[in-house]
Amino acid sequence: MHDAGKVVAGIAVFAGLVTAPIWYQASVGGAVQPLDLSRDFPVVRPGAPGFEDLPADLALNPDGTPRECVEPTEFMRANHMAILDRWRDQVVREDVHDYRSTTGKTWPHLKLTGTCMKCHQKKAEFCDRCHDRAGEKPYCWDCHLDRVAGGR
Amino acid sequence: MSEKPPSPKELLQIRHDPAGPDWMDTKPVFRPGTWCYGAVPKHAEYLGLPNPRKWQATDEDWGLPPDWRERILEGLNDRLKRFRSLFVFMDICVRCGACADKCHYFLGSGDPKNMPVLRAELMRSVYRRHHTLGGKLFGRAAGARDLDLDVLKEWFYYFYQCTECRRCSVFCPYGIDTAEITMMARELLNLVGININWIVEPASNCFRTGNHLGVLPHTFKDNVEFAASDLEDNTGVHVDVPINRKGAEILFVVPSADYFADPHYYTFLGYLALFHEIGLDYTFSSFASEGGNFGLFHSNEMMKRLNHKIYAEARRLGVRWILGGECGHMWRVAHQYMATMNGPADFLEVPRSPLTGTVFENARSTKMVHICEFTADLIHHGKLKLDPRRNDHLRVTFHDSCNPARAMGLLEEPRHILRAVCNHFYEMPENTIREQTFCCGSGSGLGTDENMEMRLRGGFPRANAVRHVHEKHGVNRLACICAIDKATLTPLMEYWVPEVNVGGVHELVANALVLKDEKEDRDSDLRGEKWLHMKDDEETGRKPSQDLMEGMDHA
Amino acid sequence: MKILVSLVLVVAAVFLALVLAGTGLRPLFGVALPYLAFATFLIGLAWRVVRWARSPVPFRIPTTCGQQKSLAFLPHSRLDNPFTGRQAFGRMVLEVLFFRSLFRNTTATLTRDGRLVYGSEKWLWAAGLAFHWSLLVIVLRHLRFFLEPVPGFVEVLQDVDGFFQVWVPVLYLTDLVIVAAMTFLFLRRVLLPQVRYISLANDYFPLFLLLGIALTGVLMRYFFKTDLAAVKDVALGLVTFRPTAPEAAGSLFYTHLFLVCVLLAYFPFSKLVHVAGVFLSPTRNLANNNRAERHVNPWNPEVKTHSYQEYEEEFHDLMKNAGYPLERE
Repeated sequence: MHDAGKVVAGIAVFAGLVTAPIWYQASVGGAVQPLDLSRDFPVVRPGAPGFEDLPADLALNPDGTPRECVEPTEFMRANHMAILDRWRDQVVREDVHDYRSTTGKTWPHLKLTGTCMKCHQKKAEFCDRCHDRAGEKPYCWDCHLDRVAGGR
Repeated sequence: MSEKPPSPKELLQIRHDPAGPDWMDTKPVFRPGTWCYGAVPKHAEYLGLPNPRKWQATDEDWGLPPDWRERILEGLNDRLKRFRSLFVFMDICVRCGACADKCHYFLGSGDPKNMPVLRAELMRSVYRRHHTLGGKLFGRAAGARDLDLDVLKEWFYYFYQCTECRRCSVFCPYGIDTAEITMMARELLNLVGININWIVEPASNCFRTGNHLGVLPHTFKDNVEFAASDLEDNTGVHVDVPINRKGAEILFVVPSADYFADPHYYTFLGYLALFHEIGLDYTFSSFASEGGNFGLFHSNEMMKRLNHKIYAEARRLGVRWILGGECGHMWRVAHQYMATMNGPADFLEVPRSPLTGTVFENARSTKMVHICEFTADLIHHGKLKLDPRRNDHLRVTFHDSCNPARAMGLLEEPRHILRAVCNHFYEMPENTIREQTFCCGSGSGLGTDENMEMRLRGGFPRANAVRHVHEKHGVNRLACICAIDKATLTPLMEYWVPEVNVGGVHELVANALVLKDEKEDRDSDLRGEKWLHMKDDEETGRKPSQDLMEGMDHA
Repeated sequence: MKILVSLVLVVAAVFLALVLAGTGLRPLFGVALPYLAFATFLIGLAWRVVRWARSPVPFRIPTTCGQQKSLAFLPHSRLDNPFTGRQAFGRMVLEVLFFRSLFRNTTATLTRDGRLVYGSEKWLWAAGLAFHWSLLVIVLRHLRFFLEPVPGFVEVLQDVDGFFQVWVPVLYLTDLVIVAAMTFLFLRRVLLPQVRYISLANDYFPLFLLLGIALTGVLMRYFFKTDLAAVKDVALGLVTFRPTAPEAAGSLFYTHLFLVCVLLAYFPFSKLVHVAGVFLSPTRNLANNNRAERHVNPWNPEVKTHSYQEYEEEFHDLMKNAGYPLERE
């Protein structure tokens, strides 16, 4: 091979750059576990501390079943930001406060802080865990309070 | 030439928006005026080239050896291993099309295969078939094709419609140089005896007699002495021209047309006058009587064979360094190939101007200096007494020759000289000069008369720019520093812009040069044209010696 | 025809992945193919470079695009006609990062009265630069999936790219730019007669493939959202060699990933190797100092030459009669 020094150096730089994530994880990242989203959610269920503080219309469904989220979990994981965005526009610009979910149910009077965070009270544990991991920096809390009055 | 070329109007019935069948489905038509004659056997034999025979491109049977295909494919394989340029250029083209309208032959002919990218694809398609996975697996769908006789004929047609001018390479984002691909293609074609006489005969002459024109030593001496006497008639200055003189400080090498052809001859007179005036200790060599090198247009081996004599003569004559005259491809060879091929020139000294003391550090290894570098330095240091009024009858523009521009970067030296020696110097539009200069249309051994139509087409972009400055500024002289230019721009101008004639830079230098011992009544330029200011002076009764401009100093 | 074949191939790849990613073959798309494609890309490209480098550069042949270094009083054009290795490096930087040569591009037109006129033609340069820079930013942005914790520079890049904070999730300018640039490059290839004439299927295919990658990515980000936590699990799994292919990442994601795999695997066998080749281009990466430093050709051939002695022998009498000094009287 001719110009071996330069060529090998070039290939080494190239290989180093494209495999950088491997080295990064091996050194900086350490052992990374998949995020277990099934555990540790500070969701307030009937009987749990704080449940009583929730507004009555959110505490239980009209038929008495435990309170559920506006959309199924899988849908929320992918689409929550779109829903929040749409709510905001509807509330601010159109004075519409109800939400009709993909399951066909209508949810009245929705708010980020007042509704979502009533249940998902700990921003650090609920929101930030995923956002930080995915490198997302939503600007929700530029305006909204990140905790409900009286929340933890 | 077999047929009269079409009129300019007919010639320009061209379109630059190719349409019609896929390029792999079209074949070239060998029309008279668009191709060059095959090499005459005796010249091919003298050089020991393969498969010497009488043949023409229009022959049904090209007289190829039975294994021509294998020879070319093996040759390609071999060159891929020897030339990284070829290997890389075969692989990295993305067909962005930036080069398409940069080629003078495409602009002048509209033939899509004269787009540099497609010219290269002619070879790339064969390369893909044999050297890439896609080409081997998918054939034509991957842009690959077999090397058959039609492809070979197409190679001959289009690789002898490229003047290796490198203009496309300036615009290519990867620097792909079609000149390099054409050089390789011509080497491959030569392997089976496909070559043109206008290259092989000069090469054969050059090998034997030292120069392309086959000028024998006694004729060389006659020509040089004749030039000296012409110069004496014109200026009154008697010049002794040293030839084969051992112990001179400098070996001066010129293209042979300079002492043989018109209008090169006036440049030759210019050199003689200049060297005499500054008392340069130099010599010509009757054997190194050619700086040009048609081997460049044949193969790298032939280039080396023909170039060998330059250093050999410098050594034999015991000079200290080499000065080179006005020539384009000679300077590509001298600058980019000579020391690599036939060096190191460690028996010579780093060139140093005996008049100004300037050491030419940029030539410290090859030890060869361009005459324009040398003269620009003289002018800068005020060593020449110049009267630019003596060129007032000329309105000058400058044609950058492809090789000094794009294989060297000799752009400012000739301009520095021209601004000092004439009062009326006008540049052509910027897209047509310096590194973007257009070829004369006849470089790389294609300047033969049977190829006239293609030459006129290829030269059109250059002529178009000259016409522009002619109409705008009344330009009537196209100055250049290349022997092929001087030979081929002349008919090109006659065809496209007949009001403009062609000449060298050092012709203009000598016109303006006030010689110490010139005759009192020196009143015309080297071509015998009366100086305008002399006419004026006669009318006003002033003496011509008044108002002489001293040597210019731009420091 | 060339266009159609390329388009059909890319569309077929999209459907193949859309359908199969929903089946038991998902690990193939999430694990096996990414590893295979990446290995092909890395080894393939390195192999191509080594293959080129095994051929020497026999002659130093820079294309000079400015004034040479010669006399001290003439301004030397350092970057267009480099004289030293450092200057040549500078030229390469301009070439690789800013497409210096393409910036010179002009367009020639023959007018009806038989004149050639030249115009500046910067669109190809602008679109090419926009495409390549966007691609780089997008690739770097994607590091947020491959790296944990996400490094600061990636977040900065996202902030800058999403500067206008329109839409949710924030619209990245590079997403717009890359689709626009590729659309331009495609239209140019189809609409300009010269470029259409020279184009091969090998030119359309990577364009469609890249467009497919960009569009599936755009769809996933802005329209049919996917579970980013699952996507990050896939990406992190790949780089930590604990691969996983969760269903939650969605078919669109696996389609996007599959197209990237096709691109990576296709890369070393295509014109896309220009990325590496440009660094080895002898007309750009060498200094134009030929006459100052001798370049050595490792295979400098022995050739048959003609000596002065042979010359003098052949023309001895002519030379003698003409009064030349001779070596042998």
